Amino acid sequence: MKRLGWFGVGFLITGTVGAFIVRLTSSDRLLKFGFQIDPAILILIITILVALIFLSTSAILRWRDKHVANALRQQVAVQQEEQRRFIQRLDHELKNPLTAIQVQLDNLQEAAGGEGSPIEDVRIQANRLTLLTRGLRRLADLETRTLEMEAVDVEELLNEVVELLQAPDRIQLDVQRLPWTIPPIEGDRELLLLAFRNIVDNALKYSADSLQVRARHTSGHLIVEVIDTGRGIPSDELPMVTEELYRGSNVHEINGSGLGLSMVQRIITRHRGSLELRSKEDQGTIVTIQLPYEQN
Amino acid sequence: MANQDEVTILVVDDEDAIRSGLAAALKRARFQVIEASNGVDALSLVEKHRPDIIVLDILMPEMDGREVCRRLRQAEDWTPVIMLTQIDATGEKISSLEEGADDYLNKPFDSYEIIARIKALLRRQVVAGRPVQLAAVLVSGRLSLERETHRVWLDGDEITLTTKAFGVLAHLMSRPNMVVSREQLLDHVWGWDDPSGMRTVDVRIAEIRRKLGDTATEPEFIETIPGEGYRFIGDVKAG
Repeated sequence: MKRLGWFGVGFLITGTVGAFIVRLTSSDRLLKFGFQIDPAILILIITILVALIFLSTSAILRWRDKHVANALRQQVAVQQEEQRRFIQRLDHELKNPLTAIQVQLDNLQEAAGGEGSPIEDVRIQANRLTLLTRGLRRLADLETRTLEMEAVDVEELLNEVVELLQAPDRIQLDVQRLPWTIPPIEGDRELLLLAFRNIVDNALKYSADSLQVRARHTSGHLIVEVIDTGRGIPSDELPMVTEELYRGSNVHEINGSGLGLSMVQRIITRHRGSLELRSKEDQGTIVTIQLPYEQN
Repeated sequence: MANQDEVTILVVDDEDAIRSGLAAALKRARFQVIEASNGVDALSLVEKHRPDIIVLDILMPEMDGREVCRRLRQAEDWTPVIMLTQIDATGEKISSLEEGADDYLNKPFDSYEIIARIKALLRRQVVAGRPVQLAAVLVSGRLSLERETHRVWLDGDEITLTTKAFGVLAHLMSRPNMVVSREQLLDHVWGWDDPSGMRTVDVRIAEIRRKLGDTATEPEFIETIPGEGYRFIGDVKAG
């Protein structure tokens, strides 16, 4: 489309030069149709007409694409809003029955003589549902919560992630120090901590070996990579892993809510950054988070 | 704290299963329990039985929990109220407190959580009239905090705190000399509990100490209780 426009411009220049050459090299001979016309003028007119067709076609196509892109963006925004409202409603409607179940389970358990009864199994499942509703609530909260922006020390934040996950022997942290250290990034510290902790926790969960966390500073961006040599994500599932409640087909025996990566995606998006996953099954996964230094 | 047998709790919720379940759990914990399924009945039971604590759901037909709380406080009735919140954004919690609730609990919860909250409220310093916890301005020596405007002054100079640090300070100051765990702070101030949050609380405590010139070793305001949490050690009065 852009090429079409340039082709029009090129055609216009070539035609104009051609007309000029014809005008210089030919005698004053006129072409006769029903009327008489200078061949150079004829070439110029044809050139202008063809260039106009190219340029206007290019402009129309551009306008149409922009229009389609806008419509798509609006459609995606509407869908996201509907999805957010659905999750909120779901969370809301689950709370009352879950509270009743939890409270009555306590009563039943006391009556049945404490722990070890089948009620304990029911309680475990009720707790899972409770955690799920909390996750859903947090997801909805992430959309609307006001970001508390402050200057965040990246190395300190990543060290905190390692400390929280209590697996220092399995995590190799490699933070750029030369030729300069990573400048602090403007962000909501708690949300960034939550995002990085989720990514590194996933890598720990789905891989038995050690993993690498690398952070570096490029022009205008912070790039954090989490690299594991675990079971990986099947390629056809990669686009879906950041969707709510999606769980990979090869991880069902490992506990998880299917909400972690959705949260990470939302946190990173709200910081105007990007989340990229590259993975090969049975070889490992590289998660790359890119955050801009300029938030506005 | 009064003997639990003598403590009467009014449970107000329009969901039968929750109300009867809670009533059974509280009776087992040896509290006296009375029940109401809407705000209007709740107000008349308060009048009649003078309960020691009210467990109050927010969303109810006829008169909702907020309105019940507002009417009680307007009538200078300071019976402690635990709100059962449904909408969980932190803003909802703050608004419940502003309506005069003493504490709030997110649904879903289990009976052990609510019994723990009730016991904590019963232990709370009993003062005549409006409790410190509900005061709009809290003052402790050279430190003062205005809850509604989120402003803090030290020696008359205004201190700027992040929203979360303010929430932590307000929560601790509202409960002078009580040990508050990191989990409680997370639940009250952040509105969610998360393992990563434990350290998050410490970061905000460090911010408060830095801004107030307080230290962990020789605290003037906030003391660290190892393995338990934090405690505001200054005397606090309503400003």
